[in-house]
Amino acid sequence: MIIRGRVVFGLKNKIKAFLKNNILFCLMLLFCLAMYVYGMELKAYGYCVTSREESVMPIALAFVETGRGVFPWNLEWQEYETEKTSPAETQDIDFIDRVISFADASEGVEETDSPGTDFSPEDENLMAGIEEDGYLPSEDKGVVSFVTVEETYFDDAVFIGDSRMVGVYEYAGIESATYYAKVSMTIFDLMESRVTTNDSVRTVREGLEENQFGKVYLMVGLNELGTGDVDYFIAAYQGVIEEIRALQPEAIIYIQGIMHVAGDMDRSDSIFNNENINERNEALRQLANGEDVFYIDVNEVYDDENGNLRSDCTSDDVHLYGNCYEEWYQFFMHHGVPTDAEGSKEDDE
Amino acid sequence: MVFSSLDFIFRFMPIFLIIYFITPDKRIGKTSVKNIVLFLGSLVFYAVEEPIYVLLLLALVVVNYVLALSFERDYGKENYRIRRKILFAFSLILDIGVLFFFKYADFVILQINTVLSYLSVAVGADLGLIRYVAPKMPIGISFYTFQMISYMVDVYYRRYVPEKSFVDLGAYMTMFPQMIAGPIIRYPEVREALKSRSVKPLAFDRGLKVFLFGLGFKVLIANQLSVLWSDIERIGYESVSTPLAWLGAFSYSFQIYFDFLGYSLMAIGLGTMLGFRIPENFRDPYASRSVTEFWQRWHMTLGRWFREYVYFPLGGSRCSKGKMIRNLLVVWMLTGIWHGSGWNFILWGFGLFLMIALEKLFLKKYLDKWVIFSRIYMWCWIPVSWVVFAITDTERLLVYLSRMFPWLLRVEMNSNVNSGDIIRYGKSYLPVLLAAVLFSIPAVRRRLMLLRKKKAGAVLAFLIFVLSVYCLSAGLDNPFLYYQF
Repeated sequence: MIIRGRVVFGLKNKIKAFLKNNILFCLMLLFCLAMYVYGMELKAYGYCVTSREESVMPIALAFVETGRGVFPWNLEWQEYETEKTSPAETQDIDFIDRVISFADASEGVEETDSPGTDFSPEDENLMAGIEEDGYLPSEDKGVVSFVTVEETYFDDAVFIGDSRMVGVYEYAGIESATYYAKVSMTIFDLMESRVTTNDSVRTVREGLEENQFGKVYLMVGLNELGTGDVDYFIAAYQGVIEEIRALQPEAIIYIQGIMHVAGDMDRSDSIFNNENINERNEALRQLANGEDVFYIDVNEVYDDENGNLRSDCTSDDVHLYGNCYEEWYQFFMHHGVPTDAEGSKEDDE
Repeated sequence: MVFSSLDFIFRFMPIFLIIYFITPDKRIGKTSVKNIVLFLGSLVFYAVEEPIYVLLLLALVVVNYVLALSFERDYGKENYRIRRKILFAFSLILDIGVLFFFKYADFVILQINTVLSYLSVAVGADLGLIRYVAPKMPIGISFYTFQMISYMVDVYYRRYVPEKSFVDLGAYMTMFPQMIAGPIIRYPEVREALKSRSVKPLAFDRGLKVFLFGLGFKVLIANQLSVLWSDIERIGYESVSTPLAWLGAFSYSFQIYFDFLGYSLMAIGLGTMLGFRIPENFRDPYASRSVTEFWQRWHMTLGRWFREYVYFPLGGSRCSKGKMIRNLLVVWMLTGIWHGSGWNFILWGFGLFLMIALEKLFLKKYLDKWVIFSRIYMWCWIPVSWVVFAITDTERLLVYLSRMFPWLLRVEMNSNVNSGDIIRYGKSYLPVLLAAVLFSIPAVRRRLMLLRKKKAGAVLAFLIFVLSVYCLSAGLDNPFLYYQF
């Protein structure tokens, strides 16, 4: 008994000595436990960091969501919140969510990323409006005969998009154009993205409100390849086109098909592969109306014989080398639509 | 599994530490239970990454253990000396052979095939090519085979007696804190601790802090800088401006330093937490004033290995000048190819040899005399040498060098330079680069490391921990870990 008592006593002392000298360790332990519990809570609320199947550690989830501004207190208030919660974005997100809920209702598909948005009868009316406007998929509207244009054609053009458009900005050498391009831009945050132009930093929406352009080139879709399904994506795209149309009544809108990834990634990646890209491009093609919204696909320039991005053009399977952008510029030049919208209409008829 | 991964920090490490510390400090027969835990834990650590090659590792440990013990068997019998030599040669051939097979066979066969195809054309007959499938290189093989070789050589030369306990030797050879990326330790450095050790609460705390400082260097500096290098690869070497090419070279120099320094510190910290003293691997190499000095401060345990087991046996510098030059050539070419199999590593090693030989012959005294000259000399040499190290494709290496020295080197290429790129990239990486420069200054780094003994150190380490884990977690929502499209 005495011996046992001594052992217990010794252990107690040991623990005491450990705690006294290891404040940092204890702090880390408590902090991690708290984060773990919070992460489990987030999981229960349906948060997930990636769109991939793989499970994310609750701790990692807690860190990422806290970084995005999701805290226990606003978690409690907004029971079914999607990943974005900052007030500045709520307004526009609502708009997209409406479109999303419409897509959900029509297809009966459950969105994992937006568990049950609360939408009212007004929203449904709004959607009905879109449907009547004739934005639903129709055949062959993307096929147009393009003309070759001069360099000055791009003087009143704006290029909006993700890193691939940043590349065009940096290396294609179209200096007279305007660029609202930002790495990792998606169709969901396109209007809210803060972009830097010569004079200032502002959101794409502000830029489009303040300036009038003759042509709007869009290139997004790769970053959100793992987010939602095709309908979710297209519905959001449609919403953005609507809004741009409202802000830029005179502009020709060019929807650019998502540029392919190179073969290595195509084979190895379950999300970022060309099958998924082609599926979305096909749907994007349907958004064109042949009057003031056109679809152009730069993949015809950069594809190899297997329909993958040529591997001699890229080191990371996704982005072009600086010296490969010249071809893109040529592509833009050969895929112009005469600026006078009326004229192009007549051509079509 | 690298230390700077969530899997290690939140899965392996806590589970291992719990098992390790609740294991009683007892022995089964002559084997310490804690060492069994350490040995098994290390094998699990390796098996997570290399489920098949862990068997190779285990086999190497067994064979080296048996061979080392058999050196001294049959002492005094007639074939003793010969037998001993044969066994030693066999052990060396085995350890070096394994390393060669996995690391260099691919490269060598490729060169032979190139020669064969040239010959075929010259002779006019088809000589055929060697068919082979290159095996995947096991992680950390360069480190643990070197550790095994050091043990075998030392035992052969009777610097210490061979270890009788298989578990103790296994724990030394596979010790997870330093198995896959060093520091390369020698057996005497851990033997005492393997026989009996107790982790004092304070030592655990200090070790944890060192680990966290290392984690910070790796995640908050090296990983951030690595994005700049991948930006340059994305643009294509042909199209980077000369200033950006230099910025990239500087940034890569700091990236590789903090990556490796961070990893070594994490190893040292973990070692301390488990009750071992692992020797330091870096002593402010970027403050060196000559290439010779640089290699006394950079990856010190590797330098020590080559000195002990190659340079000194060849005669070192205590011989004629001609021989010394030969010895230097051997050591630095070996150092070069140890870092990788490829022509660029051979070139890199030869560059090291050239500079160090020049310094030994006459340059050193000027470098010692003129401080500013030596600094400029080093800061021209460091980025260029790391560029040679980084770019394994010789053609592309030439392209990059031609961007760094456009007035010296002209390469026919299709380039499309955006002259403003330095501003864009320079601006976004400036804070990290400044931090990197700051922590390369000896006084600053020393102060930081001394903070582990103060309360402020605990606060700092905690902040580093939170930030690092945040950065690692945020990498999760991106398949490319550190960058987005």
